[in-house]
Amino acid sequence: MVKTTAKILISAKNITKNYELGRTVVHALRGVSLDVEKGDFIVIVGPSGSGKSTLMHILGALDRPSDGDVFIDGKSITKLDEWHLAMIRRKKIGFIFQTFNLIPTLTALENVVIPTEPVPISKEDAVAKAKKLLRDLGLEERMNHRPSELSGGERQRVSIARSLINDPEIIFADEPTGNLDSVTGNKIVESMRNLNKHHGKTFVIVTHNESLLKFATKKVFIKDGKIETKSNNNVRKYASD
Amino acid sequence: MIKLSFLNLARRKSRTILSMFGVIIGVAAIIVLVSLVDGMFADVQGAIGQLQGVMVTEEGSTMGPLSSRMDESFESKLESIAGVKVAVPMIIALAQSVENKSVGFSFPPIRLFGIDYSKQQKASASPINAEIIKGRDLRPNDAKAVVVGEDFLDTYNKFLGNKIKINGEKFTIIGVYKTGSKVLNSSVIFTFSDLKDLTNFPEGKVGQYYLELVNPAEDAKLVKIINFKYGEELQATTASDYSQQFGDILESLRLLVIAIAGISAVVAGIGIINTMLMSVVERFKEIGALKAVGWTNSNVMRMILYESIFIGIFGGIIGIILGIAGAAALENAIGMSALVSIELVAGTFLFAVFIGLFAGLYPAYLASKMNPLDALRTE
Repeated sequence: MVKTTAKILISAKNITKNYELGRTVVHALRGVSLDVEKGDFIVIVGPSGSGKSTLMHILGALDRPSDGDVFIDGKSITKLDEWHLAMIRRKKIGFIFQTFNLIPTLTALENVVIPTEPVPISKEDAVAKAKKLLRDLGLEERMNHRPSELSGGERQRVSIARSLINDPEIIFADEPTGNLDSVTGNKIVESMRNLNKHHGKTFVIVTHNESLLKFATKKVFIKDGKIETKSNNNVRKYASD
Repeated sequence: MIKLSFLNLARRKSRTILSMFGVIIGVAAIIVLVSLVDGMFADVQGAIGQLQGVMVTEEGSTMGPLSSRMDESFESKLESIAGVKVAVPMIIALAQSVENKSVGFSFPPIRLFGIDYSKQQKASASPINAEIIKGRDLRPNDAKAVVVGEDFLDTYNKFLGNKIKINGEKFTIIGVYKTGSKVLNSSVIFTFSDLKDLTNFPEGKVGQYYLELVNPAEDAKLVKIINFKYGEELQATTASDYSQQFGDILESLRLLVIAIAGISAVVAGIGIINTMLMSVVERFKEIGALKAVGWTNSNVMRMILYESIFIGIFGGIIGIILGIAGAAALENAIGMSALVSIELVAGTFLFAVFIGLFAGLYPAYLASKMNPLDALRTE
């Protein structure tokens, strides 16, 4: 195997995150460092309360660390204001949630288009792009259905399409299979892996589900706010698959 | 985004409609009340516009010509002033009953004019500028006879030559007149002595003098002279002074009506705030997701503001339609004239949109400032 030197998209340096719950301080992260490289398919596993979601939120510019620094494309984001963080999320990051978080009044197609609303691109282009994404994810027939008319797996695929509409380099998925049965869950992971392999999308997946580790290019085990082990899997990156 | 805001409102239709109701009622109330005041204003202005020359009443009379009692000796004094052609003694009263039905609170009020026709004949026009359209005008020796306005005739289904009972006494309708004013068209003209008897007007007294001038353009000058000479006992006014006084009164009434209707608008605003707050709280997670996918605070704020402005716009439109319909219905039912002006419609519409915007500000601010992570964690 030839080790390729990939571009580092996100770099977390010695991050800590503390929450104050009444008088107690919860140390959600205690000095975590992690690099996300272009083309990675990172699976972060750990028990509940281990800090894996907190790490994902900080890496995804949804939250700020108490200490340490996060660099996206080499620039520190820790001191950025809300507007700049929103811009980073809009341009560089996509999110997939366990509970999908689709807007119930909109159709699948409209849900995919919604992140482009504030973006200065033509409505036609956005719709064409959304249709293509939904087609690629096998939802051609379901585009005009509302979330309530879709199965769990279909909803998650809509949310994957939504995460891709602004063409982000990196997609964060928080328990993407958590609300799905194992067969559907596997299909969702395959879809993501497919995007990773064939479209060069970088994924960071946070999960309880250790069976997802087999897809990972990089495995991260986290416990009590610390990374226990980091290992590169034998699964090779998109370039050589 | 506009479509999304619209769909968000459609999610909880009954709640949206209920909060819209506040705006609808507020707007409709403003339209109905203000249009009625404006209609009344136009009527009164029309009536005053009919008045000519100079009117003289008792100084300090609380209800103007209705309560004025001047000594009849002023007649010759007034006529001796240079520029005054003739002074016509008049009595002005309000009808208490017509055909045995009380009309004390009817609108337009039924005014009774008693005119001294022996003097009126020397003038070139009648004090209210009435044009006889049927029958004939009164003459000095007529008794128990009246000339009525065309609207009065219609209201009581009478014909020329019929008898009509006013304040319990019967009079023969010998003529019908019309003027440019709805108020005056619902009035009745008597001879001075008939109305004096009917209203028990004190002997030797006159309610109002109508002065016809040699040169009508000198009315302001003559008013000054009369008020200078007899200012302690008499009050002379020109028709345009009257118009100004009524205008001031009705403007105050208009403001009062707007203030009352404004209270309902405040209530409507609170209703919208409540609706929008509930709607924002219910959608915390969705708003969090929108922020996670790159919506900025101002994007979220705009979405919520669109929603509350929609409530204002639709509430405003429906309120205006209902208001116009209500004003028209009242006009038919109680005979008041309503005047729905473009300014009134445009003003209330903008007001409704403003209420929507203003009421949406706090919920929109709340939603926009929400931490996306906290929003996503909401159950």
